[in-house]
Amino acid sequence: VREAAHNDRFFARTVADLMTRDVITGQPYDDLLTVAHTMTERRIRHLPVVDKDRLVGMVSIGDVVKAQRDHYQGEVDTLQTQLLADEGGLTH
Amino acid sequence: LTPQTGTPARPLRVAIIGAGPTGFYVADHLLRNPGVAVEVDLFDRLPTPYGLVRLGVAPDHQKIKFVTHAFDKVAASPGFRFFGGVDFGKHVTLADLKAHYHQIVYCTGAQTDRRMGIPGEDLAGSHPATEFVAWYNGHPDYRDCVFDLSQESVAVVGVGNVAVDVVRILCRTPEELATTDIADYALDALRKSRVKEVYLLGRRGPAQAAFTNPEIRELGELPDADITADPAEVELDPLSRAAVERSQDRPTLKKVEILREYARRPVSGKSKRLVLRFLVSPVELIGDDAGRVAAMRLVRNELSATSTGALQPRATDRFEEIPVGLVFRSVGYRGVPLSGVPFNESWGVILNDKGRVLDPGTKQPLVGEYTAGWIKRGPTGVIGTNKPDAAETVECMFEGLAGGAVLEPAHPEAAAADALVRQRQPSFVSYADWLKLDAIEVAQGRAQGRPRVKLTSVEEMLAALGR
Repeated sequence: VREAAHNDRFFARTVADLMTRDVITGQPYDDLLTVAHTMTERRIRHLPVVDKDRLVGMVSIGDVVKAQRDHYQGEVDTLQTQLLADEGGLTH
Repeated sequence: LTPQTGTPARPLRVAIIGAGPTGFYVADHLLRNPGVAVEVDLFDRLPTPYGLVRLGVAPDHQKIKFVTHAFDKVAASPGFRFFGGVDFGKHVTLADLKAHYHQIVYCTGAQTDRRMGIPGEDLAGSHPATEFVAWYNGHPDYRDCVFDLSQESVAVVGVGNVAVDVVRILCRTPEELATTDIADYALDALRKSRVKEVYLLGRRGPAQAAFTNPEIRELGELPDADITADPAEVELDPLSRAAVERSQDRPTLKKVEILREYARRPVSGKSKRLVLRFLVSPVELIGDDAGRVAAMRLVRNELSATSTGALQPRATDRFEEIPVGLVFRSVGYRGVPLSGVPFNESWGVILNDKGRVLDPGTKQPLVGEYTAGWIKRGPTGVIGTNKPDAAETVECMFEGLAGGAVLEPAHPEAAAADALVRQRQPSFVSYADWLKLDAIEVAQGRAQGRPRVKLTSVEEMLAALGR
């Protein structure tokens, strides 16, 4: 945007001049843990998801963080329930 | 002047379809919010609540079922009602609900299994693993299923928790099962089981297997089943090794260590044998003259990395055949569409954004319709994972309420909904009724030294309630 403000010729260019060509894409059944690592390591904030050469969606790093958070919250909750079962016994 | 919806004079009335963990989590988040007056009616097509906690979680995993105590607390909140045995689409329609509620939440889970898509899949003796699970857990719709346990060799396809449960139940002794709340008819059938050899088949390698370390450890501690694995198959291939080292993923390293120990273990002469196999996919079930499964043809896989680094199986040209007379598939699950509710066929979930059900044409949220749990996001995670998922949906529901996007029911009174259910399904089960059934089951169990003895048919349950 700053570039556009003082360079008239800027808008003569097309997105093809700017876009990333070697895009890393995900597949619907890629496991989340691996994808999270790849996105973190390569500093990818948005990952297009492609199924049989068709774009089917996008995953943002925020989506990945949220999914991991929910996953861990769920595990903690389930473990706590089982600890309560140990403490309280299984009878009513 | 009509009072605002969500105030004590005019509570927000919500219908939740499906009384599994997610249904209870949604009810909990709705009822515990101090700023909004809410009334919740929780519907289930079965007379009993808790969904898969009662009918999915394995009978030898009672501790996991302790979560029902939290659900009972939700059910005791003011503003909560349960309508068990009321089938959405049959006893009450979407139009009925729209006439009685401001908001509707679908929490019907993932009720059907994915198919393997191979020849012979429908031969006699080939079943979805979930049918076996529902059967041994006393699900009223599956109590009459028949599984040929006179077979000596069984293959379970998949390495997720359902597959592991099935394998474990097949390998337990009748004495072990007799102390659980397994359905009585299933215990009888398993007492006569002649199963000697059980294969657990994973299409990827040990590092990618979905089972958890506690689950796989438990398989190594079965009193009357030896566990074995092929030493070559439990070694990490170079791609998996690199991935594990890169991520320093300790649980996975531990998992591989456990599996290697199994591969080294000498056979100790127990009466059953559990064989773990990796990097194999079934390509065909071969039948005998009577049209029954007699063998399974497998292809050996190798792993290849996708561009994100995820490892996927790729078939080689090496095949083998294993003789098996019974096959259970557990290769994924998907939701079942609900009548009148937009559905995403390719993912097997309700079409939604963060739990707001979307119009399939405009992709805009529909007024007053929401979803949570597996039918919203697909079958992932543990029971507790549905809690943050439900919270996200409830947040959207309160946002909808604040923005005035609620249904305008003609009969927004609790009494009107109650009258509707009594008219359509007179033999519905209330939460008070369920607590009676629960007490009966627990009392019968206590007499036999078991957590409970399950009532497994709707008739039995109604009879126990004196109807």
